[in-house]
Amino acid sequence: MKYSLLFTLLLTFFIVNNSVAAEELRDTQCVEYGDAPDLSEDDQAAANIAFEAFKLRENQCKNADGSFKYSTVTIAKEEGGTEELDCIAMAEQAYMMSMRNNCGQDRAGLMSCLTNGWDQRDVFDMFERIQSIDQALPAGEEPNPFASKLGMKLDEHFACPGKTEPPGALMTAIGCSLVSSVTAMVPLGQMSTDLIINHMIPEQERPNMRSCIDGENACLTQVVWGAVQNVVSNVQGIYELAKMAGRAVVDGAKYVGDQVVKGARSAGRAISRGWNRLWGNDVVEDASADQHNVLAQVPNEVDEEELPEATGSVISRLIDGVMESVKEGTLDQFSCSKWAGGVSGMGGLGGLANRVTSSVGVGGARCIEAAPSFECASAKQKVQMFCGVAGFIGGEIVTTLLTGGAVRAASIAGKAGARVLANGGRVARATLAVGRGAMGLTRGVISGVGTGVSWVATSSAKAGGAAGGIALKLGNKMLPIDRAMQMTMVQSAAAAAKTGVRAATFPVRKYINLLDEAYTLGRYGKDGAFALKTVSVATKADDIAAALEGGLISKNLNRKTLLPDEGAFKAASEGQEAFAKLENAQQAVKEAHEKFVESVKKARRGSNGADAESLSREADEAFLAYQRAKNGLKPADEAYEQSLVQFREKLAREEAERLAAEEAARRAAQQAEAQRVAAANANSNSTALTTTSTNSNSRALVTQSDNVSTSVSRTSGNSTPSRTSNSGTTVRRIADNTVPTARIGSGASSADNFRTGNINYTTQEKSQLIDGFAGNLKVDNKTIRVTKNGSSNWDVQLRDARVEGDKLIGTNTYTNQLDEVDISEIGLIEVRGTAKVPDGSGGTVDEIFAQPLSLSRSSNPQYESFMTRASDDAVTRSNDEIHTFLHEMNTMPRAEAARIASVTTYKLSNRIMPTEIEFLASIKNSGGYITKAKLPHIDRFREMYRTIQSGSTDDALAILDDIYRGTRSEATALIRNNIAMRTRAMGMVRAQTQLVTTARIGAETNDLRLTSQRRLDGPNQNLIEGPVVPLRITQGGDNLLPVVRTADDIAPPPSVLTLADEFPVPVLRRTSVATTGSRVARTVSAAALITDAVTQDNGNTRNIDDYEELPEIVVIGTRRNTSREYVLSGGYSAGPPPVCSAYVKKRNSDGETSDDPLDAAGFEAEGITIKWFKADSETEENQVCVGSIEDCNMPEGIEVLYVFAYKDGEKFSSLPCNSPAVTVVREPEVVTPYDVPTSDTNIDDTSKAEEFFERERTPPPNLFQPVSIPPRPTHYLHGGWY
Amino acid sequence: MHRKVLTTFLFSILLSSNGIAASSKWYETKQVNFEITIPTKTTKDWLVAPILGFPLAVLAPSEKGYRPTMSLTPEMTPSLEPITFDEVRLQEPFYKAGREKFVKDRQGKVKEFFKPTKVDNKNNLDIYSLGYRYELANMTIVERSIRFMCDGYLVLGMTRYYPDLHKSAEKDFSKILKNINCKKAGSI
Repeated sequence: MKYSLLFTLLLTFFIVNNSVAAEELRDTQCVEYGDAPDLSEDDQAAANIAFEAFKLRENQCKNADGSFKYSTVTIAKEEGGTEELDCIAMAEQAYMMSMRNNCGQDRAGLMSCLTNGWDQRDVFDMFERIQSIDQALPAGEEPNPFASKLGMKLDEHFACPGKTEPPGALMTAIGCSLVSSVTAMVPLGQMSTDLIINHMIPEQERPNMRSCIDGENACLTQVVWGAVQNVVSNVQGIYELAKMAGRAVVDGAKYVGDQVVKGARSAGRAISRGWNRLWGNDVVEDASADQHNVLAQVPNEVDEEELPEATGSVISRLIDGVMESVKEGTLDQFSCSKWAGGVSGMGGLGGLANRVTSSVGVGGARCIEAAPSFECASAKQKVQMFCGVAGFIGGEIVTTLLTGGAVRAASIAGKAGARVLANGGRVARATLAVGRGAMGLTRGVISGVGTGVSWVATSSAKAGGAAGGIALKLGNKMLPIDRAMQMTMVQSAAAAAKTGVRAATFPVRKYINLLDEAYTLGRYGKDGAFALKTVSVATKADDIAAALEGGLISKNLNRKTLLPDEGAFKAASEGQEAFAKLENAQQAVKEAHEKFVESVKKARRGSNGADAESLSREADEAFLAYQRAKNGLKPADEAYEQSLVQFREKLAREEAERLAAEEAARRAAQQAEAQRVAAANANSNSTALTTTSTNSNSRALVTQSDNVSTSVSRTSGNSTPSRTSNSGTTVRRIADNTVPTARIGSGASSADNFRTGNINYTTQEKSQLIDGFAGNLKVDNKTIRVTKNGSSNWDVQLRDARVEGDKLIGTNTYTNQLDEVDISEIGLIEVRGTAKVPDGSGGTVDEIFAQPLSLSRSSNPQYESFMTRASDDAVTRSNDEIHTFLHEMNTMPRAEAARIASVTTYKLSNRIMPTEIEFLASIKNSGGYITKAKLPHIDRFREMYRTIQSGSTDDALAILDDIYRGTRSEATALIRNNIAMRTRAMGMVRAQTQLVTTARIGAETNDLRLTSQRRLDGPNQNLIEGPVVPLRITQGGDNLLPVVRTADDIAPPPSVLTLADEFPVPVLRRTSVATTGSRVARTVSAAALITDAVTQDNGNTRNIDDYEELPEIVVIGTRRNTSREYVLSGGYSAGPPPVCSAYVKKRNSDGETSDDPLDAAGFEAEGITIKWFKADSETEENQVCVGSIEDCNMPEGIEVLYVFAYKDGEKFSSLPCNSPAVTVVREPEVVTPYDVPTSDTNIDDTSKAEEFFERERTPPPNLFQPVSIPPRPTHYLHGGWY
Repeated sequence: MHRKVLTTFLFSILLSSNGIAASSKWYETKQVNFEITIPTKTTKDWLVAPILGFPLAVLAPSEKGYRPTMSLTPEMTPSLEPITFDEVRLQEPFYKAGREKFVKDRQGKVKEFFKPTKVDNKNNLDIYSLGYRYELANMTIVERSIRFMCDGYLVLGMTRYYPDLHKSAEKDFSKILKNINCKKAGSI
């Protein structure tokens, strides 16, 4: 007996001692309590006093039922002042003391007693702190081991929306998510997705998709997709993407070693370490290997047609496996309420422990039922939780599942679980911050006794021979406390079976935190998830809490920063008002958010079930209020924006008015001068047309240097109809230039000069282009159509055309003979689409022309819809969205698509920055792209646009070069050049004043139009074509009046653009009013790009379908203008007397001038005459040296003589002759023919001009109201009427 | 008797030559066309078709549920630059690193990397190959990654088989690669 007792004691001692040695007195353990040694009287008294003091303090912390308060209590000290008591620490201490000294203590009962009324998570916290002394964790198969053993009331912890749901809800939610997710994975193909769905969801459980309307349905997409992406990826596509991103490939570079490609773009990790075209691409290799894995499992009996099904079922098995793993992970990681399998040894503690043990094959516990938080979540919330866990599972599980071995798959899932946990650990603290505020408990357990007096744990080894227990420490003196005293302290009852089982440390805190995480995610959906996401990037606990607090709202309050020009706005009264409203709305959101956070905190502290439920409901309501506030922010934001736009417009108007006033004053002066000149010239012969301009702003018409005049261009050419003859000439009303910023080219450097319509290629470039073009045509068995000399017919159609030297040679399709055209005489224009004349009498040409001239209005709803959305710059779109958007152009009538492109050009010509979509649309409209389903290089084009926005034209052009580097098609080169022009123009626009640009955008949107009446006026229904000329900006009313003129059918102007043609382009001929099937040429918009080409076969009409395959580029050739046939030059001899000489040289067919000027005989033979004038005006009064052709002595007192040269009586050039000492400032000479269509072709110029003016003067341009409009014009000059 | 044997012999020659003739066939992809010669006497259970993300794949007959597989993926746009052995050698380390990671992620084990090789091809295609042997889920796999230029297009290929199951796969794939021909689409 004695021995037995001794043995027991020894054993106990050994165990204890051993343990102490190992753990260095970490904390107490259960020991049998022996009697305390006798204390001296003094010591006993001290202990009693301390004990009383302790009880006094402890009582402050205790509730009537003996449980401890979960708080800090402030007590007043007798000597004055206050002291704080940490009741939580006291409870902890009570538990420890009780446990340590009562081996048979019922832990659950004790814990439950001490912590009655606490938030259950606080109980967990405490448990976690004390678990090193209390390793007796739950055992057995009972549900809710923690809840039961620790006296937790988990059901009360959360409100439980899930409980009210019908039984099938979860299955439906998962089914919805699966179906949505799988069907969203387009690359799998319909058959595969069907297979997968059929495979994974039993038919009777498959949800009715109409009930799957929740936007969250597809949350599994990333799970499924992440898992299977490798096996369904397009290897070819991956490679191509990587190649695109690895820019070096176009240069043929093959190896860049370890160099990291800077600015790695979309291909992501494929290029993260450079581009190696052969084996540098892991993604390609990985995907290939994974796909081989699938292929390897295709059974023998499968034939080619059955392949999709065979591969599909392999894939669905795979997804099945993934889902299964994730499902387990979800249950395990989030919570568990029911355990299967014995809980023994190290295993069976649920969550992580379970995961670990099952993966290593020890223990066998599994979670078979979710714990309350999961259970209480609604079905959709559960799916969210599921997705949350699944998100951590990477693609590597795929091969593992494919190659067999659920064990290894499980271990991967386990790793994923660990990742959840690792992440959750961080998240948890932050969740705590939101929920309750920081805990801040110290581990100084027995701190509550008082200064200098504390309770300490003792062990039998160190307690001076006494059995272990609690000692009172007074200074450095230890007083063991007897058992009775200790028991009084804890007032805990209940005797229970000895447990004595030591178990693994379980991370309770983490466990409950994960519960919270899931709950937050499930309950608060996206906002919760967003908060968590924000948190997950933070690393320190403080950051996390801050991030979470801010995260929920920060994304909704981003409208805080002012744009550069908003400063003025904010200063203005309307700005202040708008901004205040915005701020109020933001404040409301903030406040609602704070309330929400507060209420969540409160709910977390709910002391009992009923409270928790109602508080939880309050939290939900606060959340809804927060959402409402957020929704309220949007209109405030929009109102602010609108107000800002209005403000900008107002500023723009004011600026425009100021400029207009200046302009009006200038023009008034000009008018006076013009009238004076007109009066002076009233009697001179009627050569008013050639009156020299005094308009100093006529930049647009500066086409010519002094020596070569265009004035008689085309008039004396052999087959070119005269443009200045009475029978059908043209008038071009040229830009008034009253809008200072509206003109192309003004104020820009010559290098940047943006020219449209006519592309100025060098002869060599042209040769290359045509060569490539001819090459392309050959493939398609087409012909090149060449129009010469402005004929509206295709003079030459060359089959099998080719370029040889400077000639384009091919078989003439009419004569079947070889024919050749001099390339230097060929101009190129871009053809941007075609138009069909509607069939039958119902359709008219008018209808066609009713469209292209108006850029903002259209009867086509598709166009309207497109432009409305395209003009909204605030929308950010994905590439796919843009593809879809642009694809709408493919479904529109061709003319509408072309018009969309013209808007960009129009905007640019008016110095308006197009939106990204508009820019892309203009590219999309390029030949060869319009028919494609997707715009190629979209990423790069978007990058270009962004680059332009950030101000670097050069960089944008570099990207462009990059896109097309190595392409050999000249057609593509044309596209490229066109984009380059737009890019340069955008660069210029970018540099302009924002103010004007903004104003013009507004004006453009509302007011650009040309009414059909104006366009189709007159008995002949003459069409008006040509450039749109902005007149002025004014307040209200219509702002831009496109003023264009037309030719009639009798004397068509050349449908040819020559290199000398400046903006605006010449008027093109209207063709075949009444016939069907003609291709119609027209100019569109101020940018004046040709949108269609005229094709008419020798006057015969053709079915339009014949031209469906019209090449994207039409080569239009012309012979050189006659204006270029003669070159006037002059000489000055100082004398005395000073003599001026005139020389006229003739060009040969190559455009080179002869070495010697014409002699007298030559003058006569060529019909050249020379007149001399003492002023720059062709009046008799001014004429000197009459009859003299070659020389003229300078009259006395005259410093400058003017020599005018005529061919067959029509002036083609003039120049001043003067001493080098005299500087002659001479306006560039421009003569513009005009045309007033009228039935009477014999009326004189003045009458024509009057008629024209009458037609064009209404409505009167408001801008000119400050000065009166002259009643009648006298002359038409290129700059306007005078 | 003698005569009968001869007839049978002739017959079998005819049969087999028929089989061989039938097994050589051109297959189209968008970029290039491949001539594939199935190296066995019959084409039974062989499958040559576009599968999953591969423009063309060659599946050899299945053994115990697994097939040796081969895929051919031409790049979409031609890169023109011919491959050199130097280039192959320079990129070998990247290949190795990538495969090491691939296998490690899947808890397998790399057993051996093969030296870069150039395949002997009777149509003068320069076919280069890198490869390795690894273990995954207790199965050994031999995987080779091949590259060659075909009329300006780089072709990415892969062969893969389980040496424990597929005794003739190595030989079969060698033959296929030896006989493979390739031309730009539309040129034949």
